[in-house]
Amino acid sequence: MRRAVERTRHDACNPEQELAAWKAGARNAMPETPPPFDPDAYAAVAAPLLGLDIDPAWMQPITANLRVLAAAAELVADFPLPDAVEAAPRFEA
Amino acid sequence: MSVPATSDAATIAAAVSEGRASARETVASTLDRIARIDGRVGAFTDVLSERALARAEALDAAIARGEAVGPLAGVPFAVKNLIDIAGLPTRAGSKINRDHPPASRDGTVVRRLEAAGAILVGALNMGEYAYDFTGENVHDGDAHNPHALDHMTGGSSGGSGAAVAAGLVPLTLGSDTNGSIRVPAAFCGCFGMKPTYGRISRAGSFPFVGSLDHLGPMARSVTDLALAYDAMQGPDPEDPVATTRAPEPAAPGLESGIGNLRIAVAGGYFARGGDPEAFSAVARVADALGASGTVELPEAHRARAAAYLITAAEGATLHLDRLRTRPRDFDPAVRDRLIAGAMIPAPFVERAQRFRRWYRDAVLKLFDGIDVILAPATPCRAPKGGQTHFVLDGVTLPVRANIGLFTQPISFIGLPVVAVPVRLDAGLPLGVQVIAAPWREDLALRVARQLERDGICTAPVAEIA
Repeated sequence: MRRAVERTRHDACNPEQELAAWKAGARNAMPETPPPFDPDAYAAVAAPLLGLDIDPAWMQPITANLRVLAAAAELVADFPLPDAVEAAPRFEA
Repeated sequence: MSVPATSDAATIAAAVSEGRASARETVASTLDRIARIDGRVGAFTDVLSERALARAEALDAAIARGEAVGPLAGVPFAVKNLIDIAGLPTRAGSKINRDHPPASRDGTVVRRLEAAGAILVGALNMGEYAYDFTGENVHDGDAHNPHALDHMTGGSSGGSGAAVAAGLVPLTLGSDTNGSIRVPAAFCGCFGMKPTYGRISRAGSFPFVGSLDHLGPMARSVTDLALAYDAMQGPDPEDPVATTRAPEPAAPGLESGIGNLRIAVAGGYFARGGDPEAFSAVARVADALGASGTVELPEAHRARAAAYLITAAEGATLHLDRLRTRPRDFDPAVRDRLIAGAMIPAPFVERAQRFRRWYRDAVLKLFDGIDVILAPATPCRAPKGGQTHFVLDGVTLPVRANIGLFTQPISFIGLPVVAVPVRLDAGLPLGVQVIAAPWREDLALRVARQLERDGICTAPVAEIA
């Protein structure tokens, strides 16, 4: 029913700013710095493994998203879990 | 012989089943209103006039023969376009899925609502593949907030919220993985329900994150939510996580009031990082319910981070083949997130799933001492359409990443929630999450109904400018 909108969403979803937001929201804190890794190098070697052909123009938002994910992972990893706690991949309430 | 097109579902069902209105005229007036108004709202992607009128005529004929009709007799409804509709490809807000063959039959929830007498009139706009909190769609155009057309509906069930708020239909279905029913309910000022994970079958719907996906109803009254929820309950072997519990109808006890329910406000994480109005809305609801205590959901910030990881990884796994073959046909923002998600090391995701177990156990303990928890649905009122940043608690933040910060830690462990609309002033509405223990949707609905009855939470039809 609606006409397509001719625009992209890079401006509407800037992962660099997203990472800054996780940091800025220190009250609901993500780590100040994600673990040290080179997201460009990581993405470059992971893409062929996954069978993905990445346009160079997409690399910046992809690696920025990787940094956000790495920060999220570090926040989760920082919480000590007993070994007996099993995963809930199929959560049952 | 019809009732106004903007009537609620219970009113329509009563009029149709008692012969005071015909289903055909009711559907016809609904289709006319959609044709007149939806061009400005953008809620619908498909309108099923022929099918709906044929079904309405069949229902009228059944009533004329004296046959029993269901509790939703003649109620027009519409579904987010990730739910199968026979004869249509299930696009799930995407360009790519339009090349899929048409669905061979309706999804379980559509069949169950129609078995209760409701009449499907169309499919609704949504964010691409449900990876969205805005209600914006680069392929179909954005859904617009009926209360202020230049503002977001919220998403990803944006069309579902907009259609209800605009009075196009009294009842819609949406999906909620991280907040995609509760956010548009809040922004569009209507009631939305995310049942317990596994309560409502998702068979015949296009998935996003299997371990987090829920389906649920949106409406302008709590009674309508309950009627739809009851009609959709029941085991379904076609959904691997659908409960085997027998249906537990909520409508019969809806008017029971809140009695001695122990109700508390979520503190800590849920009491900071939003606009003051978001917390004022919670306070208004809490005051009305006499809820003065607070409760803290432990490690809610980590729960959000874990939900973020699981969402990215599971969503990427689902779409990996499409990312390989048709990456340029995605919304760029969705594509880039999914590609990054595909690269998450497995231990990160497994750790998040293990944390999920810990968090679930910790939160469920809270329900030993309380029955219902109140929390904001969103950190703010609906942003402007296309708005990329907002200021929360003095900090400038990207909109897309932060709209769902209060919904994610709740759906992460599958708790049932009714999102109730609050109008603090003449401005846009806000929403409050009424959260219950697993399988106690009845309590959340009872509280919501009490708030509605007391005039604290109402969902009037928007006046479209």
